[in-house]
Amino acid sequence: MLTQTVVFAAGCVVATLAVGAAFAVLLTRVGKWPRLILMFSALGAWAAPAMTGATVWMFLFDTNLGLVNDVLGMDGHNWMYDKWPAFALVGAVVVWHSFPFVMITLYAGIQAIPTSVLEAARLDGAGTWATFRRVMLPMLRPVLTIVVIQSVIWDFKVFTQVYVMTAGGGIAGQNLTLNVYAYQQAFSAEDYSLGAAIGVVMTLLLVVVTAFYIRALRRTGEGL
Amino acid sequence: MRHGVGTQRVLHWIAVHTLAVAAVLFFALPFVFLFLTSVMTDRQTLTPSLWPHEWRWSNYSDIFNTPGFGTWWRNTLIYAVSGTTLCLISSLPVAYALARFRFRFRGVALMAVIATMMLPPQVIIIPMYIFWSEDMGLSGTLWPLIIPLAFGDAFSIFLLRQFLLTLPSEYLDAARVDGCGELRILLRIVVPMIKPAIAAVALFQFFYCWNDYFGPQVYTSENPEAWTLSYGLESFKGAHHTNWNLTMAATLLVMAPVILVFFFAQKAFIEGVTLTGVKG
Repeated sequence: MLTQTVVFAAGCVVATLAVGAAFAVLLTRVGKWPRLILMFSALGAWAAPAMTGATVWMFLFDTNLGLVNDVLGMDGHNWMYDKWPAFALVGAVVVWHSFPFVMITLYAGIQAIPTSVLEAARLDGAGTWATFRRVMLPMLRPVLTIVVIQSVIWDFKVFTQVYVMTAGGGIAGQNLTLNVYAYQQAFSAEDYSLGAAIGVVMTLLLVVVTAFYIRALRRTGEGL
Repeated sequence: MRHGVGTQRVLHWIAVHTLAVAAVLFFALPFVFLFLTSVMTDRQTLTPSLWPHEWRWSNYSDIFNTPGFGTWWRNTLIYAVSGTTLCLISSLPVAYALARFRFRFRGVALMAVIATMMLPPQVIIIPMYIFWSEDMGLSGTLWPLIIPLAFGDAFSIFLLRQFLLTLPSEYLDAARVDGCGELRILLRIVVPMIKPAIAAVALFQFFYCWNDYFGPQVYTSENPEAWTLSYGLESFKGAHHTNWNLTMAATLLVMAPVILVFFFAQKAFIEGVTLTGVKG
């Protein structure tokens, strides 16, 4: 369970960041109106309660009535039946909910790079890729670090989507993550001490992450 | 050559905008289906057709007539409004102290705040639950959700501190020289200067409370009178298992207020989002 918690959270983080970064770049490339529409709809998704987002997606992927099965001609296919497809679907909803944050933050970061710097790079003969790698990436590093760590923290915390979409951990508990498991043990099985022990394990995991976070804050000149 | 560049530019434009449209669909389509399904008849919901044959707005009034829905609505509002107010009142002085005063253990205190921010609620929920239910006898009410917010919220403190760091200290020093006490500086000078920050933090907290599923599940599950919308929706779903149209209408009613608030306040919101990261 420790493994699948970490794998699930890591998968969500990677997907959130990749999609978020891609859309941040996309935002800088389109005109004003497409950009505003894109931002609005993305932030709409972000503002929607996790519970309602999960409900809508469950409806879209419903075994018999869902639109997705209709379109794919897979009526009767249950997406939550197998372990990893179920995780993937829950992950997609998590990403849908969380990458607008990454997108907006990175977009603001890219906007903050003075155009004169980019122009200077171009005059010095740097191509698109070189400009991105040698100029933009180092300048975005502080923002990137924080976005990465913030996503790690959020995705380890994911509870509602997992709990609601897999009906409390999936078939035979195949989709349990540590925090859902802790909740179940403590409140459904009334085994408070086991629940608390799981909490300690999670704390240890997050202490490591927190240490990185604080170091990152220090390095960006935040100074505690 | 010129022609080639022109074609390339057009192709590039098309590629970029296709992507943008796909992205918008990815975000917006679920909402469209949500809405369309919510006005279908029970029977049509069970068919694959997407466009409502007849628009059944009465689904919405049915939801409001569902026993409990009004109570959940009221509870959510109480939780969100009082939670946000208390959280602001309690977090602002802490943030001010952490940003502007020099004192021993300030670093440690700040570290403690950041560490608290990272902990998933599931980690501390067990001792908290035992405290609230057994020591205080308050489980089944909204109090265990609201009262802790009167003692500061780590994320709000952190966010406010980030804003406060950007204030030029000349203003504060000038006020101090004029003999202004710290509390008056905070209320008279700092608060008006960081209004956007306060708005952003208030929004975040309001959203958090409105969307909170875990807290109400733990503390109020035993007493339907104290349920909030997020949690009530889950039981509504259970009771209307195949009536996706009603479930979708209820879902829409739960998310509508936050989306509305969001659209009216999105500027403050984006400021808050970017501040957590970019300001760093």
